[in-house]
Amino acid sequence: MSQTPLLQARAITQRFPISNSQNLVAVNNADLDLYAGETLAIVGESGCGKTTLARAISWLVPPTGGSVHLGGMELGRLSKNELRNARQQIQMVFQDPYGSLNPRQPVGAAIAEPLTIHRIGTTRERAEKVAALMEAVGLRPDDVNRYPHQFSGGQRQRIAIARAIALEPRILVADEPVSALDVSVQSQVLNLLADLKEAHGLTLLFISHDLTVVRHFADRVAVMYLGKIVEQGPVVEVFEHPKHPYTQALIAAAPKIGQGKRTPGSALKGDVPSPLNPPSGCAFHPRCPVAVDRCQTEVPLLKGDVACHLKDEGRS
Amino acid sequence: MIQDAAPLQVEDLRVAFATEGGSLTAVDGISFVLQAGRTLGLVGESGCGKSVTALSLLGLVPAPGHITGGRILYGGDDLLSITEPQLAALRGKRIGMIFQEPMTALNPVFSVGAQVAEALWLHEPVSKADAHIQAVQMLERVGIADAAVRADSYPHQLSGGMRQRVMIAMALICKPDILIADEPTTALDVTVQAQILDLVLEMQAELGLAVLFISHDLGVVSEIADDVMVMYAGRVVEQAPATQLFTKPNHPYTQGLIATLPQSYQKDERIPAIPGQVPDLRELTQGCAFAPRCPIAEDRCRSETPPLVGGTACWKVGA
Repeated sequence: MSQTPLLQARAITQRFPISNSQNLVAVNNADLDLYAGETLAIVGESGCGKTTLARAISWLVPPTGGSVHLGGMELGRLSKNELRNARQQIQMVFQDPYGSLNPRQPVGAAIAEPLTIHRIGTTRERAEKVAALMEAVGLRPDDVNRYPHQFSGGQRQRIAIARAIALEPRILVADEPVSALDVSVQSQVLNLLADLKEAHGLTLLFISHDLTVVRHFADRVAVMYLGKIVEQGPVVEVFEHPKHPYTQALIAAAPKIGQGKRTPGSALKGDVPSPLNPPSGCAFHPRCPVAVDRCQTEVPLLKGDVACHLKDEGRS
Repeated sequence: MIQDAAPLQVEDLRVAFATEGGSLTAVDGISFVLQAGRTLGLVGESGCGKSVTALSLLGLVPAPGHITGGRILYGGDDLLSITEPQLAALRGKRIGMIFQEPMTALNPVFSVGAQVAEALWLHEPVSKADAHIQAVQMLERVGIADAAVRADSYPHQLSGGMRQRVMIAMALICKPDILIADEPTTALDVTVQAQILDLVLEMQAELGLAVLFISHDLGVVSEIADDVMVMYAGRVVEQAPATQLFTKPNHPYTQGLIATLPQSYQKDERIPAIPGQVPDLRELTQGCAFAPRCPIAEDRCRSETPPLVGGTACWKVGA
């Protein structure tokens, strides 16, 4: 992909102060490019910083370090008003649609809210837009006055998606959009996202811990471990030929059907370390089956598609 | 009375919940056997009755739920007709259980070593000092490094994976015949999930456990179960050896579930979704509960409930 990215994030770092003397570095120096029309997935285990990174680059929680360029604008340099306008172009869908919808607000009003906030259209035009949006996400426009609790989990996620696309954003950030849904409903919502992407020319930043979903759904993938991107590349490349030992372990650990019972012994050892006290050198070295001395002392940089000392030396 | 590695046999179990709108049938006549050294996977979506089934085996169905029928045969007794003290003596001793969220299942104000030890001295004639020694050994056995030190930790000081190891130590310290595992890896990351699945398999091999493994995740069940039972709206719709169920599912619901897994499709290929949603038990009508979502349902499916015959509860299979 040689064209200019739609969104360019550079050296994103997000520190949260824990006490006067201690910071938690949730995202550490991450670069990410998002190209128009693609689906980029960020994968990793809990606490790896994938949600924090997504919130930082969509400027929902501005990062403590780094820059984000969207189109020709640098988000960190915009005035309040300019930022408000720029935000129309990035919208989010969250994991728990019940938590992200106001239980006392009828769903029609929830879907119209972004339009109201950005003062788009007359009341009547907004109502028409809401009906069209509900139809587009597979809900009945007649249900506009019902409340979130009157819908199933899958339907609530459709409501959240309708609200997210109300402003016709260019980028949709979907943070674990199907993780809270029943298996039989997950594919309905994935298919909906695929349809909307096609129909509206959306660019998707898709955050997930579920590798089978990512493999099916994304064009490119970035793998995070303890605040850092350790590997990125086209989905097929990363899944067929994972280079980083962590990516390899993650793919091997994802349960698959139809391969019979597992043989104990192949699981990666240990736990994800605390980001408050990250290991020295490569953060993955205490769990890495192939780590060498250098990995304990020197932080590997993301060179090309992978951040691993062993790859620098041409070994695999 | 209790024979070595006695199997547990459930016959026509029924559980109902009394609600303002009347009685809801959460489990509607299910039967299965747990055998030593084998794992039965119980699969289904939210509200299908899988957790209620697990709780029934231990007499722990929460009010307003109650068991309305059936038998649970274990070691010559029907667990549904023995007294609460008799049941309490079995619970934790012959039948161990682990849950999805170990943080809520562990007591936050006692050290994990004390909790594992308690599981032992409650049931066995050991001194508390001996119980503690055995608890440390058990913690070591389930893969907790530095177990003697870790035994003094409190649950919040341990990671999710470690807490689940502690739960497994508690469940297995009395060397039970049966382990009931209700979504034990759902709250864990995939690399830690793999560790816990390995641990369950190892402990099963060591103790000859009969395992009931409940999960919504077909991939996990495929990797751990010998036999699989699929539940939908309180009933078993399909029951088969795991290899058969995952390669040649018979029931349209099982077929649909397997077909919706993204692993089977090329990129950008459309995933065939099951239309509609998991039914609300309050809105169940006559006939097969899956009929409203079933691609091949016919009139009979909407009026008569299909019995489980030859491992499948469907009028259209083998018809």
